[in-house]
Amino acid sequence: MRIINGKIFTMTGRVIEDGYIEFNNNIITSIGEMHNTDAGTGDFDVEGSYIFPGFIDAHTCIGLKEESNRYEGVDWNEESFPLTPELDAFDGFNPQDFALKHALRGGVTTAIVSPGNTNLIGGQTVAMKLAGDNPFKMVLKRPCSIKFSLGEEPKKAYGSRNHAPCTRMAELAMLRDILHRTEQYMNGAKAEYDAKTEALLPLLLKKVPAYIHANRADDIVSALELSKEFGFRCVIVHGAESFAAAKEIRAAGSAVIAGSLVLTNYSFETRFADLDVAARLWKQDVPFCITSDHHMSPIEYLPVSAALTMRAGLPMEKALSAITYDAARIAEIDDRVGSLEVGKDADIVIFNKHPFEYDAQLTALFVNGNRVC
Amino acid sequence: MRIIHGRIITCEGAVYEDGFISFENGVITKIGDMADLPCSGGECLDVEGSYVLPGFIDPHCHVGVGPEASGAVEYSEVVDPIVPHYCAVDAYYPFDTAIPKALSSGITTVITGPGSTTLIGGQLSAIKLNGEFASSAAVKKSCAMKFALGSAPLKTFKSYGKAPFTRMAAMAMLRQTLHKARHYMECQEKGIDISYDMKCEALIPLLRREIPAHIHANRADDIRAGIHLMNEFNIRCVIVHASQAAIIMDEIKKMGASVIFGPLYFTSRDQESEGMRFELPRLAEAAGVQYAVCTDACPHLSSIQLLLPSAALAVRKGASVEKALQAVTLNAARFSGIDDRVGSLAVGKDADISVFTKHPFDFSAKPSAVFINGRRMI
Repeated sequence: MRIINGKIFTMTGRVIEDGYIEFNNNIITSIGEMHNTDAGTGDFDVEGSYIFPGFIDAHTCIGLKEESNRYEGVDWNEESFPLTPELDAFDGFNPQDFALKHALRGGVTTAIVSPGNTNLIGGQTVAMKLAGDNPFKMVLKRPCSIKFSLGEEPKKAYGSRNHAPCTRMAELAMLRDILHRTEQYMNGAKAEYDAKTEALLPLLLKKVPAYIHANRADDIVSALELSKEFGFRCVIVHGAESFAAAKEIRAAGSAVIAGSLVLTNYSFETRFADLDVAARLWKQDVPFCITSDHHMSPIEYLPVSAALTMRAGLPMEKALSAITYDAARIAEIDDRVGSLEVGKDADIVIFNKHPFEYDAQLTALFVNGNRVC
Repeated sequence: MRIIHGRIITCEGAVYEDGFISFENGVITKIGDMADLPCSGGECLDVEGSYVLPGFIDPHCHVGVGPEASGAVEYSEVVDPIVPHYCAVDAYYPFDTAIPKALSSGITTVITGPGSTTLIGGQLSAIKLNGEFASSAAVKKSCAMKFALGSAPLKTFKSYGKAPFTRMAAMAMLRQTLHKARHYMECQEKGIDISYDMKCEALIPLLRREIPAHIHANRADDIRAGIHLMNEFNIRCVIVHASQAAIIMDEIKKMGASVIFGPLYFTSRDQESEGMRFELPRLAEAAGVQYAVCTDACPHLSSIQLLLPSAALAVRKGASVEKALQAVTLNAARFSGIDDRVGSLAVGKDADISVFTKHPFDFSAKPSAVFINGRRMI
């Protein structure tokens, strides 16, 4: 299959004004300028349309907290116990969630599906392609990361029931306790099989990073210190006040999955969450990507939320990268998705105009080389 | 004060490609082409080809009544399901952080008020976002009466073990209230002695068609029930939210109701709101239904900053630019009866003006100037 006569945004720095892209067996096999090739029969001529890699949302509850569903389709917060690393988001993921169709309509082809924020350790996240109806065939990376949560959310969920943690002190003590036990388990201390510590091994063995939900700057610094203490990689999720801890995030080699940036500031902790967070991180050289935090804001409009950050000063190229290349790198799935390069998955989205134009229309979408829109 | 060299979109039909707009004492005094600019001195702002529009209006939100980043939410009364005598101005907090955000999006007026936990929630207020207390910032303290149908009030009151549990009870209670208020009004008109009833008093302007009803309804059957109930009592009717309007758009048109759609930038959380899509404005336009677009801004739901992106995305899904602009200006004003003051650029109206270097629907657009009552806010 070959798409011709497109303006191709590879997201690796190169924009091909009039180019082609060819893929075979789900994989991109060739990209180049039109003047280096001849149009053939069977080519898909997009007549000057804009071509991008499928967009990536690095932190969502898609399929876990289903659109339009109440308790029947709410599977994102296991509020029965605050430390549940053994849970796997994949096991709660329902591909029949309408939101998957909506995501594809918006050009979003990959999402990291994550447990919610009520638990100190919520479980394992999974990277899913959003086209298909068999989750086993939609998996891109499992586990993708381990989800942690600091600050008001666990306090609210458990403190309100007189269960620890009621305070930030308890939050960190409980996390240290389970991480110490995992270290001992890992170092072969005599122990029974333990599902919780077993699930944390990939984190301490540095195979996957932690996604740590933190909004307040002090919670962010606590997360970074914890990762240093136990030697695991750490990505900050949401990060309403992340711009105030820029120096610390940079020094720790961490990054921020910022968002949702289009919400109201519904609590004191989120009072600085606004469209300007992305620009403020960019100005301070902090690696970041932008998330819809679906269902908190609709995943279909991930590109719109990225475009809106431009009014707060983020350059267009950075806003685009924040939902493609940078999102893939932070989620550690950039070997497969996030850019248009030979050898990567053929996840390709085509628009009649630049997707940041308010009246742009998605005209075609390929996931794993299959046309789905 | 005058603004010159603007691309003036009045939002009531006229567009001046290179125009001027003059205002004095907070009121617009003259609008025209630059060629007709009267030569006189005074303060002048050359906007060099920027877009000049009326200040935008959010026709349904909870700004100031449910402030951001705060537990001081004032929009949910759950003791009595029928409280028409409550008024939003009494809960408006002018230091809500949503207000500077609204201003920096070019929004100058909001219709704000009670939520949807009560069958009759009280009076909505139209308030200018000039940072002053409602006593002086209100355009109209009581501009519409808020009703709510469907699951929101049922869920709330059932959880307290109080009526209404069902849609049957909701309609019976509303009918009874409106009958009683009409009787009260007729007694007063005929000079028959009747003891003072604050709830009935509050409903008189509604029954006299001085203000409209704003009815929270999502499911198609709730929309229909609301419109028929209002027709029964000859009350002007605006449906708010209307996620399933697509099913009965022709009926809405036939019954003469208007619709405020939103929040459209939204993930549906229950079956009632499932149809809430950016296609709704296009469908309304095709059926000839007058519509506005709102954010429903309040903590945990939607941000006021999404008003213009919402109207813009309605255009992406097929609405016309002209109607989508009116949905957040003139129609937003009309549906609350404040179009004599705001909602378009016209001589005699308030000098509420927004200036943008790019079209306001452009996602990267920010206003370069905003005036309220002729006073520069940005």
